[in-house]
Amino acid sequence: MTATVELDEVGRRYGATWAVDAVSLALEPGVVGLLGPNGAGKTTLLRMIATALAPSRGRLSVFGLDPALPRQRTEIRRRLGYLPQEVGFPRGFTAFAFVDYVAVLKEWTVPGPRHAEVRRVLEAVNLGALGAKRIRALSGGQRRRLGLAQALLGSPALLVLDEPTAGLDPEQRAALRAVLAELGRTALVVLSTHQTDDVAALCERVVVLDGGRIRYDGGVTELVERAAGRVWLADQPDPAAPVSWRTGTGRYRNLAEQAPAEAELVEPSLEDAYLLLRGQSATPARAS
Amino acid sequence: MTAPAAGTVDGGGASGKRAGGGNGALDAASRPASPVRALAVLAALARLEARRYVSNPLFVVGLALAGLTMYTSLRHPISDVNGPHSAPAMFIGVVGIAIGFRLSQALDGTSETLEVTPTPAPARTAAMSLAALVPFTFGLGSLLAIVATERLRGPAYGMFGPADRFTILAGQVAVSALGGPLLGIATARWARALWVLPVVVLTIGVWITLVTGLAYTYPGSFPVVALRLFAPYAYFFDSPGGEGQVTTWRGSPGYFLGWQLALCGLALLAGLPRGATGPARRRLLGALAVLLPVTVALFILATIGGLGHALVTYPGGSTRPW
Repeated sequence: MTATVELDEVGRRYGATWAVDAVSLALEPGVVGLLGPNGAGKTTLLRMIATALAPSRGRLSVFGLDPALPRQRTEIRRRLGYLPQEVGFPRGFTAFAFVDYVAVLKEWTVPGPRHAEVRRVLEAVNLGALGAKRIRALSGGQRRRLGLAQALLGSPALLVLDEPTAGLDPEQRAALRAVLAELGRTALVVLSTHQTDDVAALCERVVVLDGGRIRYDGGVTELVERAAGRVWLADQPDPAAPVSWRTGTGRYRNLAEQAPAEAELVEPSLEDAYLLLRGQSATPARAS
Repeated sequence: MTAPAAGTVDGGGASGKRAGGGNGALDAASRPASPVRALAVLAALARLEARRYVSNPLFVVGLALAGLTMYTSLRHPISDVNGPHSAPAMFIGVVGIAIGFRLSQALDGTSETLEVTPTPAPARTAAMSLAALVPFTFGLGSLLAIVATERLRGPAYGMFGPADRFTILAGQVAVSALGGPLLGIATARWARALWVLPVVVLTIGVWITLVTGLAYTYPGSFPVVALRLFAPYAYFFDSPGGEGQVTTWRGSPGYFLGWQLALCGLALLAGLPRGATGPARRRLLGALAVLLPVTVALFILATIGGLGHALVTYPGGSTRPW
């Protein structure tokens, strides 16, 4: 069976730098989280999956179709919702008019059903009451949700979201998780984020990118388990720990192979596991 | 935020509502052939663009000024045709350059979101260009108002016959209302900087003023005729001194109208290839390659056609070469 998205040794180069280098992935319906530091290649990878950017090498297929071929690319785009990292909005549009415009571009040509669909996605992101408001009058979080609304049009089979929770308050993030979790039951949702708790709450699978390469690809639980026995709470920072920081209780969370003095072993979080992975794979990260 | 209801996730909410009645995006087989779908999208998009055009404050102000100028000038017999008849060109056509430019440019920041939809960029440009039919309709209305009011009679029209009089006015009043927005859209598709807009408007304005000024001084000179007609808008007569004396200038009104329409076509075809790929781009560039020599030919015919030399008509009806 063909995966929804398949990447085989896919790379993308900007000048002499490979932003994404030899990435191979097969993604099936569900919610997949993409983690990685700034400049890891997450946005470039998402843009390629969203057909906004062509790979410099390798083979990419979406729904079994080749995005390099115009007709097949169009067919992919019919089944795609995409939220770019930075959504620019047209001047002078209201929230409703913007989503309505995108809906026409997504081939919703009959006004009645189109307007109903626009209202549905605006309601889905809690902007139903703000449809008549000019976009320039919306807050940053509201604009982010508006960008998400256009991506949800037609309940696409593939949803590519670049940092969808950036700028959202905790309530909005929780609500967004509910929307995405529901979509992920039948569609493939690929999202990049810096919020490990979003990934922990939403995703069955996580891909960690660093330097354009995959450092981890697997279940969230498995990644967290890797950190088991290596997360310690202590009164002092551990100089030997690659990552250590002072928590709100005043105690230090040390991510280390060996137990620091008078330390208490605690359950790891996804963030612990991610930081440990980063500490192993790249330059040692020492949070403070 | 609310989660979508179960059953709507896979396009269920979209069932039968998209162009061609597809179920979300998945049921490709149930959709009509692609050209039909593309036309439906173009029509829907053109309606949205037309609404954007009409609701643009510049358009409303321009329309009001054009209407006011024409109303005040058409209440009395006209001795100098050029003045009042240039109002629609100025307030609908020239203003249309700015509106077309801004409508097109307003979507630039959204390009990544819009580019990954199934509708390609040339379709968006085509829809915007179709919206230029809105100012064109108002230009046609102005033309009909002038024809109905003046019946194209009187000495102010010089030596031209009724057909040429109508042709000149059609070019000056209606076609300029179409050409302005098309030029604005085409310009914005290739040049995104805002300063390009005043440069384009000023260049055209200064050029027309300059060559018309030359024509007032040397109405019989062939090079001046060529310079005067090498513009999207031209006068064909003047009333020096305002004492009933009219000078009919050289040049063919019919071919000049053809040249103006060809310029509109060039503006359209110049904007469409932006974002086009593959065979579509090749077809557009091919059409451009065909239209270009046709435009040049129409310009040459406009220049060498018409009167062989300028004629001056005096209040008593007598005529002599300039």
